[in-house]
Amino acid sequence: MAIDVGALAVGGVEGGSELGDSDGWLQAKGKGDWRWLWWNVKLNRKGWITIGYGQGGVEEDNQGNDLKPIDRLIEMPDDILSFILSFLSIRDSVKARILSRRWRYICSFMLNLDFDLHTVLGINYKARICFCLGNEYAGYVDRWIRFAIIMKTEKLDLEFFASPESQSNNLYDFPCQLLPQGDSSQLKYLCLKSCNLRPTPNLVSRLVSLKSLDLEHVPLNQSCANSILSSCLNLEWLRLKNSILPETLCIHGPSLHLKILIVHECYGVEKFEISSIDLTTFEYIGKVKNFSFLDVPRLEKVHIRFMVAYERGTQYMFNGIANDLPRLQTLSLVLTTDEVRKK
Amino acid sequence: MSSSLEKNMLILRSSDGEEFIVPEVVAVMSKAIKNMVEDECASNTIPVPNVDANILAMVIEFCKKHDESEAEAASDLKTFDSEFVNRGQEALYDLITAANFRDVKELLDALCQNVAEMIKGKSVHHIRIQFLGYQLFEILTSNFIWNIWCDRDFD
Repeated sequence: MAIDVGALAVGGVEGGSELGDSDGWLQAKGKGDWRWLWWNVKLNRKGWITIGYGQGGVEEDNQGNDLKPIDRLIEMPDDILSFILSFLSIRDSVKARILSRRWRYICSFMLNLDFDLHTVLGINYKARICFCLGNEYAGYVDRWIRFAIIMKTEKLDLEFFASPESQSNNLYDFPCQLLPQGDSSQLKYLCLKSCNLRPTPNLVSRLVSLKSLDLEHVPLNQSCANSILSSCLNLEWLRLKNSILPETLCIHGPSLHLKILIVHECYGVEKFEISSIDLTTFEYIGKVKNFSFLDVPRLEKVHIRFMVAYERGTQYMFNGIANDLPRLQTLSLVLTTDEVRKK
Repeated sequence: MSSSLEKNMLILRSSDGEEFIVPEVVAVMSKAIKNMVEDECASNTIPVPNVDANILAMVIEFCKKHDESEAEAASDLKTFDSEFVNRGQEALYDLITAANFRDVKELLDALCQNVAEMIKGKSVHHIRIQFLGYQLFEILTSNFIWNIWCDRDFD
């Protein structure tokens, strides 16, 4: 026993003659000096003494009932406790584990029940990892993705952060081989940030369900882009952002059903060749001046924003583009102030 | 006991012997009492053991409000619920026990939600302070006491 009871004098409990509740101050007296300890002494119904200390002493004391022991709560039946925990997020219910040993096991019960379906994947079967991870953690992320696929996730979001100078071999390799083949594939939306997307065998049957693909900071070369585009037979929405692309990027595929194509500030690309029968909207922000619209009969909306001044590029936009795009309805161009001044 | 009382009213007796006359519609919000009434094993007076008069009065207040305001706006009821459950922990636990034992689902929902709110978004440290204070064992083993003990020896 570390406390010598004889050295403790109980003060301020004169009024508390009742055994039920006696809040008071304890003074601990050492040799020659008095230590004032802000203890809050409780005698509960069983006669146990529970000592709590209030942080900031007086303030805590004013709150009165808040410091009551939780014994009663902890003694409640399991179903009540797990019911209470069911109102909490996983994070909070894990924190609540400190309250008692029994809660620890109830918590793990809750996790098994709830973690899988609702909390992690959401009712809409969304899965999202947003973290600072590179390829060195591939094993963990793979396992997680495997789990998401078993849960028939429709929307998969992998948002990693990599510094701009990080090499492509540091990026996490998205495991296409984990995706199920054929009709069993449920994945409809795939968003990758700072990952590698490399084609694997049987890619066609794996990506066939995909409707929307969002790639940010995902380096692509032409063969890679080709095989992805020719695999995603149902792809309708594609965005490439801040990615390193080949010098000439051809967006074409025999059975491409792409409707919306968005390219934002990609590096390394000099020329776009776009040929997609169903394309209706094209949006571009960046430095490229060379566009060739080869076979885009349904393209209606084009939005282009140049980041640098190009006299020739914009000439084409004003003159030639109308010939190439028979059904163009909206063309919005954003030029740099330099260029406007020149004219 | 008049016959009209028998038909529409029930008498609930708390553990400490106090009796409450309650309309049957209100009383049967408790599934346990409902079962007793339906099985006709209830006499005029229904004993409610392990619930004292104080708590029973609160439960009846809650049930009455919910019974009356079935047609009222849900937001009104919600405000009432949140005010109703805003009590000290002792009363809260008594109420939970009563609601669980008597099987009053609405009350149990509101109460458990309230306890959950007390945990929600708090740090571990704060949860510990709020619910436990610091438990005796932890105080005995903490460095704090150890320091006092050492100080005494060195004095």
